[in-house]
Amino acid sequence: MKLVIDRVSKRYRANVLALHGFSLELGPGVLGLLGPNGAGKTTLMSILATITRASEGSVTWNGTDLAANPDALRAVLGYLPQDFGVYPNLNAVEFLEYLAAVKGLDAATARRRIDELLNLVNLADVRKRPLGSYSGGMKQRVGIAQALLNDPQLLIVDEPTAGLDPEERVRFRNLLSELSGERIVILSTHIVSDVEATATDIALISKGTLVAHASPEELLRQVEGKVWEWVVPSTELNAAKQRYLVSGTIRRSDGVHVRVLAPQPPNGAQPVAPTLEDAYLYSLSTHRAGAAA
Amino acid sequence: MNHARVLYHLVRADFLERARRYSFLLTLGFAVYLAYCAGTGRIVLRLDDYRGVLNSAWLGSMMTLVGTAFLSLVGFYIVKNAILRDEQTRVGQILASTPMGRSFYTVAKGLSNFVVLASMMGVLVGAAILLQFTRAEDPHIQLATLLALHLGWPASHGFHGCAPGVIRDSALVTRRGRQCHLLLRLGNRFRHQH
Repeated sequence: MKLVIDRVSKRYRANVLALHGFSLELGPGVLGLLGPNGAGKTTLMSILATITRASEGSVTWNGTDLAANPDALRAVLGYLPQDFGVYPNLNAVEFLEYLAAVKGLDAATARRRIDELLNLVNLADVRKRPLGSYSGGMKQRVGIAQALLNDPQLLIVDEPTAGLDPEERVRFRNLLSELSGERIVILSTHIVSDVEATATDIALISKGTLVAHASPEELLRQVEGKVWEWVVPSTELNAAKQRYLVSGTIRRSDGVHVRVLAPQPPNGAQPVAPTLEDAYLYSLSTHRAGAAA
Repeated sequence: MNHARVLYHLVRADFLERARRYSFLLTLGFAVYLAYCAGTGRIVLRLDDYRGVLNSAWLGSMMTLVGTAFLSLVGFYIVKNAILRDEQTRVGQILASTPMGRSFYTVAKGLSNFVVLASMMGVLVGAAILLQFTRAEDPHIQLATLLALHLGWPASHGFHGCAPGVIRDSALVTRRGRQCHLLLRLGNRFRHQH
């Protein structure tokens, strides 16, 4: 099972370059695709889901070029797009039956999978209610269920936790971790904590280019000894923000606890253990500094 | 992939989605009202001073005339947006990532439009049977005679009603299609003003 993205570029009208020479090779596991809004994540997801064609470069699934033969992947693909929508007048069972048929599942398998998945996403009790009456989080769970209908080998989920409450978010992260064994899961998000909990690999993307591709541990090692925390009066917070790369602030009774990324510690700062969010900010700022130079 | 199964579920989902809207029920109610008018003499087809006896043949003819006029005018507005809705709800993105081909999808949408319009024609047929019983000018129902003209409808108005809906939707999905549509509408407005 292998997905190879080879120097893929995507150019839209008005000469907007959404992706530029993006290369990545993926095997089974969860890839967290992290990047700021507008970085090109959704464009990449769309190309991998065989909806959009790359302007340059190629994507191959087990050696088959997807531009020439997209059906090689489509039969084993599960895709949850960003801002997933539904037919509001159908209920969950009717909607999933429809998508199961389109994905090529026979009637008996479809019925079994729909029952399993509605239980898995905790929607069994409301299975006969029109989807239009569902909350945003419930609709998102229907989206997750449809993506898993054909037990996909490649699962692409674009901003899947948007609209989910904290409990649902944890549930979804656990679900992704359970699913990752025998398949490739690509989780695109700008929420670092989603990736932190599930990803075996992380790809950082900014302005259409790959900034880094490494394991979470490798990314954390890059910022080892570069994360500091110190307390400043709230009047000096802006000055600190201008001087250092700040990854977090917490207001307490003794002042503002500022978390910064810097090679040398500010006066009175204490070293702290880095988080993936620190590593993400550090990689992006280093990349931007490199690009500007 | 079992094409018959895919086609059935695509048409079923599309039909249920539209048939459960209030606008569909309102249109259906209007179709029944038209059928009532035709059966009770408010809409009358006269040949000089003669009118037809309300038997299966005459009621079938009346309902077909009412139905074709009604579906030609209103039908297009009922069946449009089948493809646009998939684009707007982003269900289209999921469909595009499945093994289903584009031409198959287009045919299925056309067929689903046809089923929506045919269901309205079915209501008119039901109304014709009911009226023949209630008016009692000729209580003998001859189903084949009643349906004869209705069955001719699919070949003519079925195509006229369903195909343009799909063609319009397909065009509106693309940027160039939207531009052409806008130009046509502006041109039409300009023509009416001058």
